[in-house]
Amino acid sequence: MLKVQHLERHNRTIVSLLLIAAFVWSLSAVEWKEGLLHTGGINAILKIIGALFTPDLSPRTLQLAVTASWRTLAYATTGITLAIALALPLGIFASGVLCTSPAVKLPTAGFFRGLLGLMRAVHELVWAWLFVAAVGLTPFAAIFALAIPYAGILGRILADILNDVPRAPLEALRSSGASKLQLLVYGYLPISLADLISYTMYRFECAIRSAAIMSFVGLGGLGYQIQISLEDLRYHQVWTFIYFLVLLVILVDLWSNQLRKKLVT
Amino acid sequence: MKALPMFQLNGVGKSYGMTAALAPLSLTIEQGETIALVGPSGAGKTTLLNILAGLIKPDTGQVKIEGYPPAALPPGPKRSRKVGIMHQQFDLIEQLPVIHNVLAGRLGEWSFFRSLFSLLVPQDVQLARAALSRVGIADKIHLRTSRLSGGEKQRVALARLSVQDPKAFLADEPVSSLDPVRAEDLLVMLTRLAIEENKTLVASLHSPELALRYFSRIIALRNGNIYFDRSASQINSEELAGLYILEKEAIDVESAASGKA
Repeated sequence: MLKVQHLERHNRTIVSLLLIAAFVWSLSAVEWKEGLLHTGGINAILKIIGALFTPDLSPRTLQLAVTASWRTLAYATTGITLAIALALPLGIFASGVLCTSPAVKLPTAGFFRGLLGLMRAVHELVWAWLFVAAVGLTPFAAIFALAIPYAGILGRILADILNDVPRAPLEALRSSGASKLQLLVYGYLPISLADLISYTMYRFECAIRSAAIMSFVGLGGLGYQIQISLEDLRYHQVWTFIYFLVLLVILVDLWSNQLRKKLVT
Repeated sequence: MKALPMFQLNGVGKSYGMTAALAPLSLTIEQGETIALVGPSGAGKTTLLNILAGLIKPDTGQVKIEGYPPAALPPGPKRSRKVGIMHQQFDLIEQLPVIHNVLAGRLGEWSFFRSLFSLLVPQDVQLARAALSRVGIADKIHLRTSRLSGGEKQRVALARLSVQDPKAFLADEPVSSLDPVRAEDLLVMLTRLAIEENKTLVASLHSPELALRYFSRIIALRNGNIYFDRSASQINSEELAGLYILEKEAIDVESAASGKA
């Protein structure tokens, strides 16, 4: 027994040494002289860093930033709202809490879990390309592209949280005569509401970042403005838009803290 | 015509794996009796209560709840009108306000939409308020349940049981997580409620003194068997002492077992 442990420790050391050697060797595979930074690359980096402290605050840029932020926020909000509407029924079915017999529960829960998996397996950017190809450059493309993978994520979490609800209070409701549906609205949902809301708010934050990225596809918003400013080498403007993005995320975070405090106390 | 017995057990036994939780035993409980189940931990009190509540199926024997086999009383209004049970750990929905926990006793009688609507506009408020004032906490009706003390939570559980209005109240160690004063308060309320509304009451207790003081009939269990079963007035101090020794033995056995493990 002791010998085996000794051997295992030995093996681990050997593997670690091999991995370190592989890393050192891989460094030699990089051509350090050229290619890492293109000509003028260092110059560009210095400019970008310099602009960090002097964002463009001219009225025109600010106005542009506000409009773009508004659009990004609108995409994110509509997208997540649609995602919640989809995730609620799908997640409840995927959790199987409404089923009475295991013979029904296993296949239905499996089917809905699979469906949720399919929805979130494809990244929102890929969904965006698909929807732009299908319905063109309209806000609907952005909203659907956000809603589908986010519904997949939210639904999965909803199902997991519902499955983890403590049994005893539910048994008590059951013995006071509650049906499965009544159990859902008087037991499962109130018990898990605080967790659900804080996770959904976190996902709303993620949706804002995703909505910004979405606009690289050409759907407008903060990402689109950042892209244009970068192409024009207007780094001061780039930072203005990035700061607006950060501000949006911070605001959502504050709101979510407020909500959570209200729910937990 | 004499009313049907509330519970009739005939050769009822239950075991978990190799250990017998309840030796085959027979028992009749008439309507309106107030019964304390006493005995050391592991004597089978909880198993017996859960069998009476229809929550556990016995391995052997027959159970009749007011004449019906438990299978004829599926979970839902049919069962909740016959028996209601409260537990040591209250088992309330802590996140909901007190009023909804009390009104949860009505779920068996309400349609789904009425119960959903009640979360917005509480239904049968008078009923909930009356139940809460009987247990002395009407002023807490709109508080979030998690903010109550242990004693108050157990009163909410009692109010829920009274709103459910089953023919038999079952209580599994209802006071063992409360301090002595609150425990006695709760037992007073529980037994008074049962007697006033002519309910059958079966409660498991740790303290034989409390059992003697508040219940009319005492059933002592030991290793899944009935050790004695008689009216509270016929129990003498010797038997009580016997119960204490019984408890001590059980503790010795438990500590020996845990020592081995």
